[in-house]
Amino acid sequence: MVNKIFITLLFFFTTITSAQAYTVRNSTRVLHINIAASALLSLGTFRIGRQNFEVGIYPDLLIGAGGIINIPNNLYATIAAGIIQNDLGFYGGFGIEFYKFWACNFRIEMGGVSSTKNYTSGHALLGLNVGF
Amino acid sequence: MHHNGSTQSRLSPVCLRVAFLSFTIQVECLLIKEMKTITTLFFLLLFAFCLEAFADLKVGGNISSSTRGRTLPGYYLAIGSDQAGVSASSAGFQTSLGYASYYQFNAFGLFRPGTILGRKIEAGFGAGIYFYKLGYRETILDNAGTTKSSFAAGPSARVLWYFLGPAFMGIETMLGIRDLGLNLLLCYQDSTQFVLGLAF
Repeated sequence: MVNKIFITLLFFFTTITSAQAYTVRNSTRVLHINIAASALLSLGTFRIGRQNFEVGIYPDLLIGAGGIINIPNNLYATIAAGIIQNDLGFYGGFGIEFYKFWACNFRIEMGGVSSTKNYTSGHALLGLNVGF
Repeated sequence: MHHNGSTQSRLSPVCLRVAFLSFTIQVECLLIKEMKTITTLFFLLLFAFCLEAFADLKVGGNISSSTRGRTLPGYYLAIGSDQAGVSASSAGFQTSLGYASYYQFNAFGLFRPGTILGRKIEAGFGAGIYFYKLGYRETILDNAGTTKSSFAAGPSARVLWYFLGPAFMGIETMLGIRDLGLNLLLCYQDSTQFVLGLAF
């Protein structure tokens, strides 16, 4: 019975049209700093950005620059390229930035790091986005 | 729904419906063995006629953290619409002393929100699973050997960048949930893959 309810809900939700967009993440600030924790609450990222461009330290000490694409409902995607351990590396992440409090927005981000020397790693980031 | 600026060709609606029907049948076989035939047919028909089908098919290669550092290219296959998609990838090897097989499946809600450096981005968030099995032995005379397998499931994310027409590169990552205490400390059993491929 539980399985039937589950599968009913599963198929029901797959038929629902996506919700309309009402909000986007706050990218109007002149400058912002994003700092977030990663595994074992270590420093996951430290980025300085302007609107939809960021530069700084990404997970696994990837130093690079990237862009942010706003997605409705405060979601965003980010992609970056840079140097990781003397190698070319990439970072791709998907997250949500929400609850503006004074100059702070909270960010939850999930992403992966990859390098051209067959290194890949996934990260969950929990942090703040402070705007000026 | 149609989106502007797409560089991908479209598969026919029939192809997408057949694919989703196949996926639906597999899900139902796995999850609801006792579901009656009439109920199954009802949902199949519901699913078949409710979709507006715009699909793309992605084929590519990957390197994955599931191989734990080995340089072991795998294959990557994905199918999706503008709003949702699924992907499957696998890698493996076999020698006289050992073997390994890695599998990963992800399902995403998809967004195509814009461009970076003038090239289209595809982003997604959903859930995934991965499974691997490996075996090894000290000598070829050891018939039994040692085997090991592992399974993890959790949220997954995808970011793809269409850097040249249908060619894309990107990252898919799945954070396997295993130990709640470690998960609260942002530690996960991750399975991340770098993908390079073509979309049709």
